[in-house]
Amino acid sequence: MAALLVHAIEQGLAYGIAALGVFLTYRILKFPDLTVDGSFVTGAAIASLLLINGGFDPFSVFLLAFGAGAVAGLITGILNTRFGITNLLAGVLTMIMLYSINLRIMGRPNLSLLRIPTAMRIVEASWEPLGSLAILVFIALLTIFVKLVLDMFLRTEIGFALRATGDSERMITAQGVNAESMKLLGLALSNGLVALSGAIVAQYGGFADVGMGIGTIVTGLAAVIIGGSLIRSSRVGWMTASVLLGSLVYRIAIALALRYGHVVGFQPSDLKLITAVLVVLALVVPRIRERRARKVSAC
Amino acid sequence: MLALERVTKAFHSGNDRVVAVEEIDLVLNAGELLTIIGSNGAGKSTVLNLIAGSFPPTSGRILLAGRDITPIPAHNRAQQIGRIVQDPLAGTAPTMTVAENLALALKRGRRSLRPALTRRLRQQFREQLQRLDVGLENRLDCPVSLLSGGERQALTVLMTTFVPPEVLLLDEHTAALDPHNATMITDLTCRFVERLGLTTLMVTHNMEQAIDVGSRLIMMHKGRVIHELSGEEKRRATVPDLVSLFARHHVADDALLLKSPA
Repeated sequence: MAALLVHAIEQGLAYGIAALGVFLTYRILKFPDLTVDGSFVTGAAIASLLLINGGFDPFSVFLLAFGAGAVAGLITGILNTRFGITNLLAGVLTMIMLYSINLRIMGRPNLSLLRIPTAMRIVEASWEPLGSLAILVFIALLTIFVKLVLDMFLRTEIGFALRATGDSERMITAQGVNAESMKLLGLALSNGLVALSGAIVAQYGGFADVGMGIGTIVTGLAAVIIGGSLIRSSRVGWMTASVLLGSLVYRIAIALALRYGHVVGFQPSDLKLITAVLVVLALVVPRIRERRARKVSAC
Repeated sequence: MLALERVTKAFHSGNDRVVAVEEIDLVLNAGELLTIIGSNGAGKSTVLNLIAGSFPPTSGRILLAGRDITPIPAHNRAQQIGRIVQDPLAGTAPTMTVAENLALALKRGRRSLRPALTRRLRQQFREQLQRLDVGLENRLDCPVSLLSGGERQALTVLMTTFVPPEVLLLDEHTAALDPHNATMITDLTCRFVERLGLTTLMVTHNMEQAIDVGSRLIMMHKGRVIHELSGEEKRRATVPDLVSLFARHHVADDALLLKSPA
C-alpha cells in the first residue's frame, strides 16, 4: 500500500508539470490546446534519444525537451493566429504532425532506457540516505521549482498581460499589448512544460513510447478541474498549487482504481474511459449546482 | 492634434459593398472635446474604430500629431490612443483583481519581466481609486467580475486615463448603464477629461449629452458629416434643434426619433 502511494505521488508530481501546462492554456488563455498529446511524447522522445545516442547529461535534456515542446506550441499558435485556423483544429493538426515527427525522432515506436544512466537512476544512487524516497523527493523538488518559477512569471508585467489576454483580447489590445504574441508565448510555455513532463516521465518509467501521450489533455484537464474544485482562489500561487494537488488526487484515485477496481469489474483498459467520464462530471456538476443556486458572492 | 484626411471605409466589395464612412475630413484640436451624434449606421463607431486601428481605412490617411498612423496596428496605437467602449465587460479583465487591472493599465508600451504589482503601487492605486468616489479603494483584491457595470466602467475610465493618452475615444460608453450610473460615469469622465486636458472624441446616442458636453458637435448620416455646431451656436442648441436639423437632412430614423422628446 505504501509503495502504491509513493508511486502514485511520484506520477502525480511528474504529470503535474504537464497539468500546469494544460492549466496555462485551458484556464489562463482559455485556449483548449490539444497539441499536448503530441508534445508530451516529443519531450519523452527527445530526452530518450539524447540520452541513448548523444550521451547528454540527463539533467540538461530537461531543458532541451522544454525547448522542443515550446516549438510545437508555437506551430499551433501560428496556425491559429496567423492563418486563422480555430484553436481546436490548430491543436489537432499539430498533434497529428507531431505523431510522425515523434516517430522520426525515435526511429521506431518505442525506445528503452534500460541500462542508461537516467536522472532517476543517478538520483537513486547519489541520494542513498533517502532510500526508496529519493526519486519522490527529486521529482517533488523539480515540480515545486517549476511551479514557483511559473508563479513568478505570472506575476510579472508580461505574465499579467498573458492572463489578461485570456480574459479579454479586446481589453489587452486597448492596453497596448499584441494579443497574438501573448497567445504564442502562452502556447510555447504550456507545451514546453508538457514536454518537460514527458521527459521526466520517460526517465522515470525507463522508456519512451509513441502512444504515451494519448489523453494528456484529458488527464491534464482532470487535474486542473479536480484541483480547482478543491482550492478555489484567484491568486496565482494557489491556482498552480491546486493544479498539482488535482494531479496528485487524480493519480492516487487511479492507482486505487487499478488496484481494487476489479472488485467492481473495472479493467486497466477502462482507465481512459473512466478519466474522461470523470472530467465530464467535473465539468457538468458545477453548472448544475450553479443553476440550482445562483450564488451571490460578496467581496 | 488628430486629423482624418478624406477617409473612406467600405466593407465587402462588388454588389455587397457597404460604405460605412465616406471621404470624411475631421480635425480634432489638442484639448478639445468633440461629440458625434447620428442615427444607427451613420458611421460613428466606424470612425472611432478607424482611429483606434481596429481595421484599416479603404482610402485616406489618419494623422496623429502630424504623423501618419494609418499603417500602425491597433495595439501599437493604443500607446497614444485610449478607448472606452459601450460594453462595461470589454475594458477590464474579469478574472483579475482591481489592483491587477490597474497594474495592466500602468504600462501602455513594452512590458518587462519585472513584478507587475508592488506595495508602493497598491498605495498609489488606492489613492487614485478614491478619485472615482465609488468605494473601489477598499476592494483592491476583488476580482473585477464581481463589480457592477457602473463600477467596472468607472474603473475603465481610470485605467484608460491612468497614463494620459494623446487622444481619448469614448464609444457610447454610458449607453449600457442605467440612468443613475450613466450620469455618474458622464460626470466622472468629464472631470477626468478636464483635469488632464485630454483631447477627446465622444460618440453618443444621447442628444442631450452631446449638447451638454464638449465644445464642438458633429452630426453624421450615412457615412458623412452633415452638420457641425460649435461655439455660441452649440451652447444655445436644444434637442429639438438637433432633431429638426436631422429632419432637414431627411433623416428619419426610428431610434433617433424615439430619443427625442415628443
